[in-house]
Amino acid sequence: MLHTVNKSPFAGSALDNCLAFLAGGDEIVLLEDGVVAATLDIIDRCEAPIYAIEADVKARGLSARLRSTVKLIGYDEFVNLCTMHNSIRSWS
Amino acid sequence: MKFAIVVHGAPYSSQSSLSALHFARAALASGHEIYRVFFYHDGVLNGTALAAPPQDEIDIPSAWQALAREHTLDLVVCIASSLRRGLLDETEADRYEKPAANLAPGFVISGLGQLIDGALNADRTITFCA
Repeated sequence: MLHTVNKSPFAGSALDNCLAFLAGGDEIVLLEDGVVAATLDIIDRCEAPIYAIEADVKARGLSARLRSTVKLIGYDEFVNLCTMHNSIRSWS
Repeated sequence: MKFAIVVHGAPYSSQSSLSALHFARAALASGHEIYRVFFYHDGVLNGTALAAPPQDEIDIPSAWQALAREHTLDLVVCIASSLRRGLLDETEADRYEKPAANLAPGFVISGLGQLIDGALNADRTITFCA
């Protein structure tokens, strides 16, 4: 399953809920305010691959604080990730 | 691959509609098909014909209309969400005796069945939450 998180971890429990729900083979896309999580060390402890929408990271000035475990992607790669998972769950 | 896209956020209130628009453009550019875009809750406000944002800002409702024209997209606004928020086509404006209709060209008003149909017939359904 592909998970998307669009809220900052400081603004609610979307990321926590997502991480609690993760199963083997799952991947996570952070978008909108969800990209704030890409700067936190909680992300390093996550076993699932984590991607963040590059435009949303740049728009928030977070590029320099990005954890090395996070891969920046564009919308074309986001679309491609969706094709590689049978279902997509949006956490908000 | 066929995508169904669900939009929950109103334009300018959250990033939801803009993210969905970027996703839709990227999917089409990659050769995928968009089976339907379903606008739900505040997302139905993407379907207004009356939005007049400043000229130096992106006009999100017009961007959906342009994308629909270019790719013959099925843009559906939820009828229950729309009626509550004052988004009406000619039929509903007549039915409820309202002075005007304001659903933009390219959008249709329909029911939740269209969301289910989208989830069943598209290969992937992705929701952009408000």
